[in-house]
Amino acid sequence: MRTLFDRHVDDTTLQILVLDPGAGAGAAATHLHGCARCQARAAEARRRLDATRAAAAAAADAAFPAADLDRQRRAILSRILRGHRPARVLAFPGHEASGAQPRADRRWLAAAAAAGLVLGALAGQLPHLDTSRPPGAGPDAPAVVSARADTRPLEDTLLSEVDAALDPATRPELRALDALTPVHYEIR
Amino acid sequence: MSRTPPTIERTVAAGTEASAIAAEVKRLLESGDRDTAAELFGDLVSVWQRRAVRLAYHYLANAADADDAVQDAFVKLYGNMTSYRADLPFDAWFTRILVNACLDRAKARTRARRWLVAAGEDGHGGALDHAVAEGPSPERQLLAAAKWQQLSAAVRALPTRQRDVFLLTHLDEQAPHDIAMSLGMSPATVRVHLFRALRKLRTALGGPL
Repeated sequence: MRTLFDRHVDDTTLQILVLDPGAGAGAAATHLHGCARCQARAAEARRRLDATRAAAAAAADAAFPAADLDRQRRAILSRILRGHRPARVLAFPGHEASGAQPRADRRWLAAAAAAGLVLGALAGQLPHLDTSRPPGAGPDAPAVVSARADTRPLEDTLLSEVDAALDPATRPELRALDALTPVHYEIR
Repeated sequence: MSRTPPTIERTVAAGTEASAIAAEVKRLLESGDRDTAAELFGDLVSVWQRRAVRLAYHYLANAADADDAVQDAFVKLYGNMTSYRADLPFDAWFTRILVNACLDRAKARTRARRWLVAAGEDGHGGALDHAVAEGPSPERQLLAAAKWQQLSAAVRALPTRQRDVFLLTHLDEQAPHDIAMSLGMSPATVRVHLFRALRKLRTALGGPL
């Protein structure tokens, strides 16, 4: 009469015993100790599992060569070090801080920006200086003149409406966003 | 049946080393020496990085996602270093963080796929294609690689817990006791998941692994 200990170990249990030797306390493990055939099957199962494990490791290592691991390690440390320091407000993406510029450079930059602003404003006003007639128009073009004269208040009205619509004081949906957004005097 | 291949010995040694480094990083952070702590943390990354990358890569089956998940896991680990308990194994703690990072990444990928048209998937060939394309391999390695490719697809189809247990047991060679600590379940439950995973894989592959 065959007992529980006489039965050969099934494949799944055999793999469990190979993967987890600590599980070898039941009838299957007892049988395995005394059965040359099952021991051979276990050795074959171990060889197959080792082979697939090695193939899996090789696949991962091929996808992550040493250079990629170095880059990853640097990225991790960089993220950690960034976490140490206070966040920079609205840092422009893609530019690294290159240290403080000389003071004179910054003065020239500010002067150039201001000059550009003034020139831009003047250039924007030039077409409006002569409102009596459009360029190239003959003496009988008053209708166009009056239409342009009427446009400016319309633009002003539109811009005022846009300003009012975006004013957080009047738009409760924007209050939370406004509270989160830093303002210039909060920036060190 | 006792099996103690050299890889396990290396893993245990690495685990002990990682625990010692983690304890020192924690001490440095608590004393306010953040720069030295970050520098030493780099050593901890070096000890665990290869293992982490292999696990994440097979968990997510995508190099870019695995890269992100491993980075996230280490950054999260550093952020929580002061809560590290030296009386518990570091490996179990970090494995849990890593598995969670992989799960987060997998969820993010699922969300992204809802919005993006699947244009040729992720641009990565299978891990196996990459490995085989690296250079000529002996026939036996190719056969094992082909077997792994089949197995890998079947593993991805497993329920999450079974997949976690199988990958940690088979690829990372962790004992059920350690996996139990990592995944927050009893060793008996780990063994049940492993049994079910093996049975499903066997069915999926039409034969033993």
